[in-house]
Amino acid sequence: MILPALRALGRWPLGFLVAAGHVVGFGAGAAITGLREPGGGAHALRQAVTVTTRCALPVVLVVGPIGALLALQALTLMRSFGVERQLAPLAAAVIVRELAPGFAAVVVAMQGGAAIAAELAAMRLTEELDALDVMGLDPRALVAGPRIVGAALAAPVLNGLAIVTGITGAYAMSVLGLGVPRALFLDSVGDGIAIVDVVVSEAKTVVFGAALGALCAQAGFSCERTTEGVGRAANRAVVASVVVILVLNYLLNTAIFGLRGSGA
Amino acid sequence: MTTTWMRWLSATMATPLRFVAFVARAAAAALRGMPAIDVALLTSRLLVRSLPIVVVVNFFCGAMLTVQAAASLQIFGAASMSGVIVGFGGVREVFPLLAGGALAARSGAEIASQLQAMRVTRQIEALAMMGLDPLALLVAPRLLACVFGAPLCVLAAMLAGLFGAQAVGTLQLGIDGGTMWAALLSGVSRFDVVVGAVRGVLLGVLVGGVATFEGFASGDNDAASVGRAAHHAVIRGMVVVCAACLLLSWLIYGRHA
Repeated sequence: MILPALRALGRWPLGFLVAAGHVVGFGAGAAITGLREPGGGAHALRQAVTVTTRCALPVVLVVGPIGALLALQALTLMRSFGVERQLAPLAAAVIVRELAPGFAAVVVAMQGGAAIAAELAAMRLTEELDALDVMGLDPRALVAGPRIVGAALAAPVLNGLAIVTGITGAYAMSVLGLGVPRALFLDSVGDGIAIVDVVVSEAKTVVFGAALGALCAQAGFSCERTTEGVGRAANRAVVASVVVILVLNYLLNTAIFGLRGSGA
Repeated sequence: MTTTWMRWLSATMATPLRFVAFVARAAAAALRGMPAIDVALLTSRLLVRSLPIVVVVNFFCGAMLTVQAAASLQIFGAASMSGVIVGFGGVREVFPLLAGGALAARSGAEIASQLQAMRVTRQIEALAMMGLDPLALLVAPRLLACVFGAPLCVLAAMLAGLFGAQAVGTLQLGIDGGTMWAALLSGVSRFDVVVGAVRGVLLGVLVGGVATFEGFASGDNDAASVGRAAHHAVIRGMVVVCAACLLLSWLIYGRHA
C-alpha cells in the first residue's frame, strides 16, 4: 500500500529530472553543433530577427500596461507615505530588474516559442526532419540549433524594448493620468537604474531565451506524428516554458542576490 | 488622406467589433438554453488542467518577488517588511495577471484548438445542418466554464503566491514565520480580494471569449489553422488580459491615487 504510493511519488520528480536532462542535453548539443555548421551563425541571426519582429508588438502591448499598472499601484501606496517623489526611480528599478525580463520572456515563449514548436512539429509531421537525417545531415544542428541561438539573441533585444515601453507606460500613467509633475518624473527616473541592473536583466533574458528555445525546439522534435500532435506540442511547449521561466527567475534572483538567512 | 485613415480604422476595428458581437451572440445563446452538464464538466476540466499550472507559476512568482523585495529593502535593514510589498502588489496585480496568462496558455489554447479542430473536420457544420445551434452547444458552455473557473484560478493564484512568499521568507531568508505571514497579510485588504474575484470573472469572459472566438470564428479551414487558433488564443488572450487589468485597476484604484 505504502510502497507503491512512494514509488509513484518518486517517479514524478525522477521523470521531471530525466525530461529536464533531455532538454538541456538537446539544447546545448543543438546550439553548439548548429553554430559549428557553415553559415550557422548567419542562420541564427536570421532566426533572431524573425523572433524579434514577431514578438515586438505583443511585448509592447503586454509590458506597456504592466508598467502603467505598476505606477498606479505604487503611487497609491507611496502617496499615503508622502514619498511620491520616489515613484519614478522605484518604477524604473522594478521594471528593469523584474517586470521587463519576466514578462518579455513570457511573451516570447507564448509568441515566438510556440511558433518554433509548431514549425518544428510540422516538419516532423511532414517527415522533413527524417529526410534531412536520411541525407546524412543533422536536423538538430541545421533546424533546432539556429532557432535556439536565435531565441537567446532575440530575448535581450526584446527585453530592452520591454524596459523602454514599461517605463513609458509608467510615465503615461503617473504624469498624464495621475498628475505627477513631468519634470520630477523625468529628472529622477534615471536614479533607479544602475548599469549593473541593466546588465543583469539582459543576462537573465539570455538564459530565459535559451531555455525556452531549447524547450520549444525539443517539444517540436519529439511531437507525435498527427495533426493534433502539432497543436499539442506547441501548447505543451508554451506551458512548460512559462513555468520554467518563473522557476528560473526565482533561482537566478537567489543566485544573484545571494540571500541566505541574512534577511531577518 | 481621409479615406486611407478610414480604411485603416475600419480594418483595425473590424476584429474587436466582431469579437464583441461574437461574445454577445454566445451569451444570448447561453441564455436561450444550453447543456448545463457540459458547463459543469468543462469547468471541472478547466480547473483540473489549469489550476496546477496557475499554482506552480504563482508560487514561484511570489518567491521571486520576495527575494527581489528583500534585496531592495535590505539596504534599509527592513527585509522582514518585504512581505508587505509582495502582499500588496502581488494580490492586487501580479498574481491575477499571471493567473490570466496561465489560464490562456493552458485552457484557452485547448478550447481554441478543440473548436478549430471541430471546424476543420466539419463537425460544426454537421451540427448546424441538423438544426442544432453550435453556439449554444459548443461555445456557450466553454465560455461559461471560463467565467466560473477563472475567479477560482485567481483566488488560488493569490494563495499560491502568498505561500510562495511565505516559504521563501521563512526557509530561505530566515524571517520569523509569524512576522512574515503578518507582513504579507497586512498588505492585503478584503476589498482587494473581492476586486480580485471580480477581476477573475472579467478575465474569464475575456480569455474564454478570445479562445472561443479564435477557435470558432477564425474563418480558416485548413489543417494548420488548428495550431494557429491555439497560438492566437494564447498571445491575444495575454494581451487582452493585460489591457483589461489596466482598465479595471484604473477604474477602481485610479481615483484614490
